[in-house]
Amino acid sequence: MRKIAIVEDNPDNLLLFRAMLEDLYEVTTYETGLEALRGFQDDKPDLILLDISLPEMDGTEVLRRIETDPVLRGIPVIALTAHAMAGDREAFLAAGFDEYITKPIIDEHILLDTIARFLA
Amino acid sequence: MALDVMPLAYALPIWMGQQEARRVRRGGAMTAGQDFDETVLARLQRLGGVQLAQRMLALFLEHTPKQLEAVRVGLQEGDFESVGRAVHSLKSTSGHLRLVTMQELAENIERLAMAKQREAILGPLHDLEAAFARVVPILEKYWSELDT
Repeated sequence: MRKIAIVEDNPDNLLLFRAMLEDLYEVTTYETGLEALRGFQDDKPDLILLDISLPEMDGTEVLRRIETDPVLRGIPVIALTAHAMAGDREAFLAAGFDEYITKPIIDEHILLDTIARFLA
Repeated sequence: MALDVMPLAYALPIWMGQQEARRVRRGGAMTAGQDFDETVLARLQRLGGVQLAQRMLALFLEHTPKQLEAVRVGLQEGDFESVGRAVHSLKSTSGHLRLVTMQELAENIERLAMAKQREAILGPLHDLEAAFARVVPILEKYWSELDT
């Protein structure tokens, strides 16, 4: 089973995303960027769903550290964010995210199809 | 089944009491009813059974008063970053329950917080608190019905 890491500080969202994914993937969750970066060293995921508005270290900085880490570089990272204003998508893709999905996720197939595309 | 997230029985009456006090001070009236889409519950149950639906409702009822309080405190202290963070979170959690009114109000406040427009936030914040107050009994009713 492929491994997906979710980095998200909101318990409602974590609960829902886990429910959407755990029948198909091995899911690990982290509530902060620092916790995630430490966890990735011991348990490298195949794909990362990364919230942007995280406490202590925001998602963009977590992404930067992933990209500069020789072990983690190359893992697909999908921004999972409630930042859904004009220009946000372009900004996140330009920052280096592989894809961008907005919360709330009303149709889980959007998430599942996007993940499947990267893990095919 | 007991709520395993936190004593709503304690937190909600306190919060509701604060809202009622604000309403009385403003002389406003809370209208009954809220556009809650019942299909949300069916979707949550499909994804994770009754347990997921109940837990999502409980988390929303537990955390929303804290987020609304964070907005109030942030406004008092001129901390627009905290205001923005709290409504940003509310935007997605209310959206996941398809509470469209709350979601739109939270998004509006987020924009205003980014522009640091304190006075302009007060009206939508009142509306957001009122929208939550209206939906609390509805969500509590669904929560208890799921338990049976």
